Amino acid sequence: MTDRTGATARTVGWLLLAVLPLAPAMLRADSPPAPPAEDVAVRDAAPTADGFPLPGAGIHLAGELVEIDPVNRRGCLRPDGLHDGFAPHFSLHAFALLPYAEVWLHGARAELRDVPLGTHLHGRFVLTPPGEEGTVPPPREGFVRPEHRYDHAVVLEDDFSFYARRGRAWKVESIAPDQGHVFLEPVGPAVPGGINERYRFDIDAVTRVWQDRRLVEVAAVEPGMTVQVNLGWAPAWQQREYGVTDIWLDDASRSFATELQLRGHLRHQRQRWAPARVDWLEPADHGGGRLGLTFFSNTDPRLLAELEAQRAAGFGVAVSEKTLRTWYHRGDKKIGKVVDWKTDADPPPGSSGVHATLAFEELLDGYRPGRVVRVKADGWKFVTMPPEERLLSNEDREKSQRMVRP
Amino acid sequence: MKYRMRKYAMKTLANATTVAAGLVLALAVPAAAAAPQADEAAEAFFSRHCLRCHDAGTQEGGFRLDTLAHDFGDMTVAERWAEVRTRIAAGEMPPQEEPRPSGAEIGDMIEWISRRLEAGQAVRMGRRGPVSLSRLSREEYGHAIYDLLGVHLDVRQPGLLHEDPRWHGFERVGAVLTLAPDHVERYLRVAETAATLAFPDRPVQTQTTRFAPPEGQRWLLAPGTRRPVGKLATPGLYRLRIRASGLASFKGRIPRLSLWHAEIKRVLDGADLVAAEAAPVEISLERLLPAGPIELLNEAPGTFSLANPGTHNAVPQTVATLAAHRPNPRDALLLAADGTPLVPLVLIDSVEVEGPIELEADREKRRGLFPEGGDPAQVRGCLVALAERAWRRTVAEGEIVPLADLVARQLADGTAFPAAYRAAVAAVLTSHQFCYLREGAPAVRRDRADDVELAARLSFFLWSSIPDERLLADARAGKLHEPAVLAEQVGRMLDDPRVERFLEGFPRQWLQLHRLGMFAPDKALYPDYDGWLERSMAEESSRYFAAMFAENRPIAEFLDSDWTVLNHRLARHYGLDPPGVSGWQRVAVAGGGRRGGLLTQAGVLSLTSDGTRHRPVHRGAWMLETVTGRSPPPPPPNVEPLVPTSRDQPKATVRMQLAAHSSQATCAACHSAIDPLGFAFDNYDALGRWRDRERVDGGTGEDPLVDASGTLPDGRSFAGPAEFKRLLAADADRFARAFVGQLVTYALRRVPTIDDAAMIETVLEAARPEGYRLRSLVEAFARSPLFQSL
Repeated sequence: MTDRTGATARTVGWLLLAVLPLAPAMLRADSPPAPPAEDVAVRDAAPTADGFPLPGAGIHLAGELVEIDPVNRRGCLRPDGLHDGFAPHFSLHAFALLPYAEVWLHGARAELRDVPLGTHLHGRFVLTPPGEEGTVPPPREGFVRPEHRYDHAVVLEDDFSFYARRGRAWKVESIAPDQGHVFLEPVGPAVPGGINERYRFDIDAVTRVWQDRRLVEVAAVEPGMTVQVNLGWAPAWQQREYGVTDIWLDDASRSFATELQLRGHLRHQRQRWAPARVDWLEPADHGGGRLGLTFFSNTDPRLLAELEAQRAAGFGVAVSEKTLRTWYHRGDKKIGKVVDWKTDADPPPGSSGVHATLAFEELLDGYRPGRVVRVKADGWKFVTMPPEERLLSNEDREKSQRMVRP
Repeated sequence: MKYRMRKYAMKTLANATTVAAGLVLALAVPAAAAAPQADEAAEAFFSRHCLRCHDAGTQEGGFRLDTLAHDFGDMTVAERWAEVRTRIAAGEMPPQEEPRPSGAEIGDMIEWISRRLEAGQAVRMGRRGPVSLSRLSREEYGHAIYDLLGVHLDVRQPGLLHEDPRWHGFERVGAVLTLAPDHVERYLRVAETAATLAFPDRPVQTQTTRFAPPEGQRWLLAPGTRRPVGKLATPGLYRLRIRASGLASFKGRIPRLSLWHAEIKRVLDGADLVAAEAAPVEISLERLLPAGPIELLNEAPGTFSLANPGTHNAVPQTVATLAAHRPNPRDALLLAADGTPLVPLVLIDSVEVEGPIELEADREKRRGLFPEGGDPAQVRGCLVALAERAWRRTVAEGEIVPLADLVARQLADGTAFPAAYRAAVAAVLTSHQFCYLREGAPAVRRDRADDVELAARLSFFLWSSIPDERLLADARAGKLHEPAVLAEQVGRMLDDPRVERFLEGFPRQWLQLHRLGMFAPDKALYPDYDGWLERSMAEESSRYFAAMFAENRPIAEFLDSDWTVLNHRLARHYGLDPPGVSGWQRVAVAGGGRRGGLLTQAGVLSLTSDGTRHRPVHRGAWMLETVTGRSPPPPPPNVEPLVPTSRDQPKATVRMQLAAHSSQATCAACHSAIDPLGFAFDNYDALGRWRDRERVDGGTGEDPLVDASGTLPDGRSFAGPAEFKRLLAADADRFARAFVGQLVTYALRRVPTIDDAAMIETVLEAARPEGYRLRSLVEAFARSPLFQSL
């Protein structure tokens, strides 16, 4: 692809960024998941390989992100207030992100690699999907907790995203930098799984304070301000104490943080392509055939809009794994002609609701129903992935399918 | 040596051209003075619409119509008339400000000029001097080399002989088979190669080479993928024994294992292959093959990129078993989840290539043509034998002397004897006496071919090659023209296996099957089109012709019948049950006349289509030419193309769009005669598949229903292709007359003229009582005065 095409794609991207924020589909896609269901059957409904979770499925779990495998999209949380503080590290809550799992940072979609270690996250975790039993190994015998069964994440959100997406913020009641704490009062609706009461958080000289589009001194924090915060480790974490890593004092600072993260997400996805699942395959017996795809909700709607706008040129479709890793996507892909494009009004969690039907002259073995592919719009510039992200062999692939616990 | 050879070849071929041109120029009679008079309608049209400006008084544009001669046999005159027709057809004349003739009047005028131009064309092409020289087509040259020396040369190989120019599909019309300097170089190259193969320095040993994958593995061929199996050092007869399994796709499509020449880029042979993975079979292919790299090809439709950028092979080269195959996700998708092949697959265990195999029959052809030593008398004797067979006549001693001298000079220069002798052989093969058919004599004007000429005519007509010894013997004895002898020889020749060359060559040229695949079908619209289907389409027509000949069926069955010949691939294409046995089968076809006869064969219907859609006007024009022997006038310049249906308009068939097009006065006249012949086959898409609705891209609503009804110019109407075929077949005389005209073009290498009409009737009278049966008709033609006429 030429630089000019790349520039065009970037221009289109920015244009969409400016024009599309109010699109209804986008608003739906940006909605947070329904709270965990009280019905145990719904809560414990594990998603199948060819489906998406039920609304309300899984449990909510919050904790500090303490370990990640960014390439394979896995990690560990140290759940809030874990035991008595003397639990060994191998009893952490290990998880794998489902291929459609969303990670939110600063109010925008993100990759796990974007989230700094030590960030306090809220997550929705579901039971191990059938066939995925070997992905996340259980903790050592004697250290298993009931939550460990819910080892596949549907959503991970930092506190900024978690509260902001649900209409919640904090009002600064008082701040005492010399004593190392700030008192915040919830503003907005109660959020299941969140802190819904006046709370004292730790602050110190490392706390980043954002105002407008820049860092300011902690002195800028004044009582009465409506803020968003991100949380991290505090020495008394066993007692559910949290340190404030970042505090955003005004709309401008929050919008800028969101925009920066969104830019990162858009670049990442344009380079690695939009993930989707193969719903169905109609092979012809002359090598080609038709493929039905559903795009995931972990792709920002702006990117889906770019795909839709450029569908006349066809899509490049590369095979992927559930980790969303590809092999050599720019070389492996086949170009499919888009013969249908439609959007569901009320998609399940994980689904963007966007379905595409593509016709191919050549099909790949990884185009089978239930498998994950990554889809390229014509205007997205070809990039070769770094070697650690690429799969090289079947052995490599098998190895990537099992998480290595700490 | 090369220089001398080239000099000899240049001289002899150039002499031939000079002689031909000189004789024609010197002895041709002036153009016939008695030009046909314009009929009254044409005269009236000219008076009313043309002469006011184009007469002696005005001479608008410097052009006078009142003095334009009616000698359509004169090229200059014909070109002026063609210009008149074009101007009228394009609506440029008469000018807009002048009174407009009606559409019918324009049509009549165009028809009048066209007929005369057509007749004039025949006269022009048929106008010959007392001697005619006609170059052999490259196909005939190759056959003649084989029949003379027993060596096979694929003259279509790149770098050998040029593709011959065609006249309405015919590759052997003398008037268009010209000779350029480059031809001489190529003839020399081919002749030297043939001489070397026939008389090598050392006898070529037959070798057997075995190719196999590593122990425990099998080569896997996905559709369109190939496996190299060696490079043949010399052309010749080879036998391949292949042990392989052929697995049908989940929809029953079977693989075709073909032999591919990697340099010529052409399939040379092949076989349908159906054998379970656990029960491989051995298939044997025996074929005359050109030298070069050969490969086995799984010839089924589909695109399978062998290598992606980087190092990954999308299709594994080998597998132990399909069940044990662990595909990588980025491999090509070959198997369903249950292991059933999604596409036709071939698994090869081993390939044995044996050859070149020299048959006793081929050695026999060369017997007596190569001297054992350098004895001059023996050399001369062999050269006489060679030249008499090659040149198809008795040769004089004086004609041999230069050849013998050539050998002597080569020897004197130190060239080894075989090479020295080969120089003379190549000289014989590059002589105009070999490359040209010469008929007539400058001194005595004859109207009938003599026996030697007749022998060559017969052999090149029926065998596309030189006469054999029996035919030449009767010719030399002066008996060949005797009816009994001629009948016996024609009968013998029609029974000879070499007649297959006629049975393949004539229908291919008559039906213009070379046009098949000229516009590669759009892969998006016709994804399962492939080379084997294309060749099957052509082969259906030639095999149908051969079956008609073998069974001596009435030629009306070319137009309508209840049978055809099919293979698995075509049956699938037509949506018919595949024949139970592999290969080609004669099958009865039901379905109310959808199939049966040439006209509804996929090949014929495809060659008149482009890569995306059927073209009814082209189909109609082809019908006119092929079935009625009439050439429609060319379209006027600047014809507006059909515009694709716009998004907001209802979908319209091509016929509907043409209706608007041909309603213009300038177009209606020709289209009314051509279009119904094409519309009759609108039920067949661009690849000849049946349809009830015509696929239309763009537009609103459903794809429209096909309307294949129409009315012939004589007023008879038809509802669809079946009725149309019946109407055509009912007019057997007209078709037979046109068919004999095509035989004339093929056999006599010229376009029939009005002078042939009476003799054509004689042929028809001979064949009519039997109902114009094909073999009988060919036989009657070969024995007729028409066949012997000069």
